[in-house]
Amino acid sequence: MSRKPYALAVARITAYAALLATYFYFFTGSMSAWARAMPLEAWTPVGVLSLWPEGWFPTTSAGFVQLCTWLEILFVVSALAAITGFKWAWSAWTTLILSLLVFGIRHSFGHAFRTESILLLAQFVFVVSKAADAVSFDAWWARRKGASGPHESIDYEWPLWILRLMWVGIFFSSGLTKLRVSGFEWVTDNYIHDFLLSNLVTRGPNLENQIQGGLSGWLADHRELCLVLGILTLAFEIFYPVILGLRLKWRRGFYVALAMTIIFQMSVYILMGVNFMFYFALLPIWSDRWIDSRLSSS
Amino acid sequence: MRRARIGFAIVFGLMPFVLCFAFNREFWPFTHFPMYSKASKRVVWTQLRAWPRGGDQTGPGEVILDKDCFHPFGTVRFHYALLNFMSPRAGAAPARDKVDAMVGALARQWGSSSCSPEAWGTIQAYLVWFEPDGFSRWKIENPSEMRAISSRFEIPAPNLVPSSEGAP
Repeated sequence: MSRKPYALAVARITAYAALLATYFYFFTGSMSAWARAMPLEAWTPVGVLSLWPEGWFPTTSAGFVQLCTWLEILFVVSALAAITGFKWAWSAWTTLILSLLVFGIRHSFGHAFRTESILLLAQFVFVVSKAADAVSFDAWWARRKGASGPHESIDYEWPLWILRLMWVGIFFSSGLTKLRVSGFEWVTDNYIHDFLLSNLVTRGPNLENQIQGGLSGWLADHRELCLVLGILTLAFEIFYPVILGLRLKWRRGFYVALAMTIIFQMSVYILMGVNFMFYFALLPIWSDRWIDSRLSSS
Repeated sequence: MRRARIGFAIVFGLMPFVLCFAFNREFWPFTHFPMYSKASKRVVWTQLRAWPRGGDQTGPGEVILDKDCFHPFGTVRFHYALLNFMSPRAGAAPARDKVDAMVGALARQWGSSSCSPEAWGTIQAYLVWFEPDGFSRWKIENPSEMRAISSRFEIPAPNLVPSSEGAP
């Protein structure tokens, strides 16, 4: 059990750094440049963005660009503050709100990705956690003012548990939804094969001339392998909560399960072209003992 | 105070999975990750076709696959957006005006981008279908069925002020 603050602090740094990286990845650099190209007529607010009062939304392209420029600046500054643990009580909340706006606006032109969802959802846990009690500007400043170092506390443990449950919930609910929508036909009808083929159409231009395109094309030609892959995928997702038990009772099995998770996400990227690798930024939530022992001794 | 913090984290971190699954609805960013839960034997997708500047405008045009031509929309996202606008939730009509807005904006973007504005004259979006045995990346140009879903938009000539008018 980890009651030291370091694992949570490292998870904060990696998660918010990944959030910032995701922003630059999605906007290929600049939100304001992206906003210049977007037609406001196609604005279709998604999820929490639909709560945004219509009257508050810019009606002209110039107004939209101006809004995005400000959001861009504020988001980057706020995310940097969260990474460094500067005024955490404020920067965590501003980053949450601004990232919902920034990514929500990006998704409100017809299509929302789910690849970065974990980084947004994780913030709902980070904002109420004491994730900046170590490895942060706030902690350094408090120490300078004469405060003692962070003590062991359950406050550094429960956020990690909720983040782990969230991580597990993503895999489990994905598997459960497959069963709910398609039942065991998802496996018996060889849906993996159909996804691979359709992906060659939908993501063909992105996969063409890359190793991914060749691999998924090769796999699609081997229906039996697709069937096996389908069985493994569904079983992996449905039984994923077992990882929590493994972590407590069988450490070696837990590491195997975690390695399988990494292989799973990389396979999704290689075969389907969908980048779920933002999840790796939250790996510190699983390595609390190792991080705490390393950082507390140093 | 600690209880309130834990309660907040559970309500916004874990409960959404349960609720989204129970109601089978997403409320971004809250989701139950329903992607890849249903496969279709007949693939429906969208295509962007272009016709050369000053050339024959009557043929099927050429499918645009170059991802640089979809910047800053994103290739996959652009196509999914068109597909979503054309197949909205039950009860709503297809939003062809939004498809037009997206394709028109892309056309204007081409006029000032490096995506061959001197080569292409017009672009138009299509809904396309591929049959189970008839689709692969090699036959992407020849879907079994296709239907225009947008107006045809002129690509502004390089170094000219972009026009927002679509040419039907």
